[in-house]
Amino acid sequence: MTTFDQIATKIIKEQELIIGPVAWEEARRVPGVHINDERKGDVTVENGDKKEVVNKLVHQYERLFGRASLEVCKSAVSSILAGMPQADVPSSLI
Amino acid sequence: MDTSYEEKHLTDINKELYKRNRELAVKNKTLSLLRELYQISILTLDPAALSRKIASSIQVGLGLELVGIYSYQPKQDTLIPLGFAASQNFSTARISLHANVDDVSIEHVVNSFFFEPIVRGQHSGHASQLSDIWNKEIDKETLGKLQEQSHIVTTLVFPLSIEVRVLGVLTLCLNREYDSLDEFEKEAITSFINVIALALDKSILYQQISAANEKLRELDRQKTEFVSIASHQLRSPLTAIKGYSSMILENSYGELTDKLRQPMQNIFDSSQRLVVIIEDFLNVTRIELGKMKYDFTILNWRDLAERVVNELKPTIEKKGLSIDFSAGEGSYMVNADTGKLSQIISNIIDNAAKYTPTGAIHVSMEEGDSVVRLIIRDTGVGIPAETIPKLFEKFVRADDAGKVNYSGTGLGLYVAKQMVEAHKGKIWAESEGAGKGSSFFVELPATKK
Repeated sequence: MTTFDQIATKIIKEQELIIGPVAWEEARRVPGVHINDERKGDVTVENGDKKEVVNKLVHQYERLFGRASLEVCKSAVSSILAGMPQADVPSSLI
Repeated sequence: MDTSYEEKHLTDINKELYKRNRELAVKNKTLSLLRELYQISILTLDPAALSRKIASSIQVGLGLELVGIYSYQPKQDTLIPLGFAASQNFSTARISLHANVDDVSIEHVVNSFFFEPIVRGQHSGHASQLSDIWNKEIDKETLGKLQEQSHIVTTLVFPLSIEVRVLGVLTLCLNREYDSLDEFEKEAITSFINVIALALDKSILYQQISAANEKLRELDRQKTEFVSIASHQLRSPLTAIKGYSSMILENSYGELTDKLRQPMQNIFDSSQRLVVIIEDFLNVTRIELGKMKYDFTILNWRDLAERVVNELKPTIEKKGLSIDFSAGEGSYMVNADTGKLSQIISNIIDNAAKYTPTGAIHVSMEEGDSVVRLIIRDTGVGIPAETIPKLFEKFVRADDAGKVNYSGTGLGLYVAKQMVEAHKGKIWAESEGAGKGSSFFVELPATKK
């Protein structure tokens, strides 16, 4: 599992705590997010620019649920981001 | 109403619902973590194990880099590490830098710029540099590297206290600024501090009580050994006193004058009583040290009881009391130690005689399907209802003991009970109350021929 897979998984799971299964439905709509097993929380970030895929995932939730959802995303992955070089952090999560 | 207005309205509703749901999710997470801490607190009694489990739950639940719980020792003015849990980042950095922050005590809290207000003033504290916290325990350069490699940005420290008593402190190392924490994290932190303090208090008390109990057990064992040694040492000279006084009374050293006979008889009687008392003490010490030996054999309990009654009859009658024995048909066979069973019967009859100023003692036996029962009834002072449950404890006497000429150790019935139980039997007493006499029952499993 890559760091971006972990970030996507954490975000979706945190959103699931708030909005339930809708979190998985909305994640499926994001190009580049591949859900291998919803029950196990197995998510892969595909395609070339993985940072951009994560940005799209974050924006998908923000578009529907507003700024509060962005804060939830940031908070969910803060411990992962702490160990990443600043240049690798998706811009939506800075 | 146009479509765009409706869409905007629905989006607003959506956002509002999201906020509400988030609040519920926050509360849910907090309650879940609190429940976990509560479970840990009721299932774990050792303070160190409790602290490790609590620290681990919080570290995982809040995604922190390091969680540590210290206990505060006021006499030494020292914070002692109890339990820590760290993230993978922190663990890796700590090992590579040999920076065992979870292993060092913080001594002389009064001199600590950081910890003094937390412990003395019960204020929470926060630091952006680890060197502000462990500046005396670990060198600054190592702490700097540890902080960098484990991405620690803020360290929060909270006092764990019950009223004015500080039990310890909780240390939380975060990879973010405190202000960046969401409501869940802030709310969770403040709500579980009291839970941790209570759990820690309970476990520390348990530990103190366990230590005190262990000390009491050791003192009790020493006391038992002392009594045993003292009793053994007393027995030899006493045997000599009893033997020589008996020989003097029997004129073995020449004719005893009438003037000296009564004092000599008093010496003999007193030494005889002392022998019984010492034997009681020795029996108790043997029982408590687990050194009482039993030599079990199949015997006829009725014959034994009748023999003991006949042996005691002269002494009982000398006191102006009567004693009789009766038993119905039956084999009365039991698996018992002859000497111990005689002593049980003697102790109970002796007890009945002491508490019966005038009247009679009736000893009878019955045999049931699987038990043989001995009953000793007296017409004595009786036993108050509140005394009956304590009757077979050490040094217990009936409340009316003072009204009769009582002497003894208060150990006879205790010894009898211990011996009966070693025979897998039961012993109990019944009385209709003060002045109405008493009945003692001893029941042993019957052995078929």
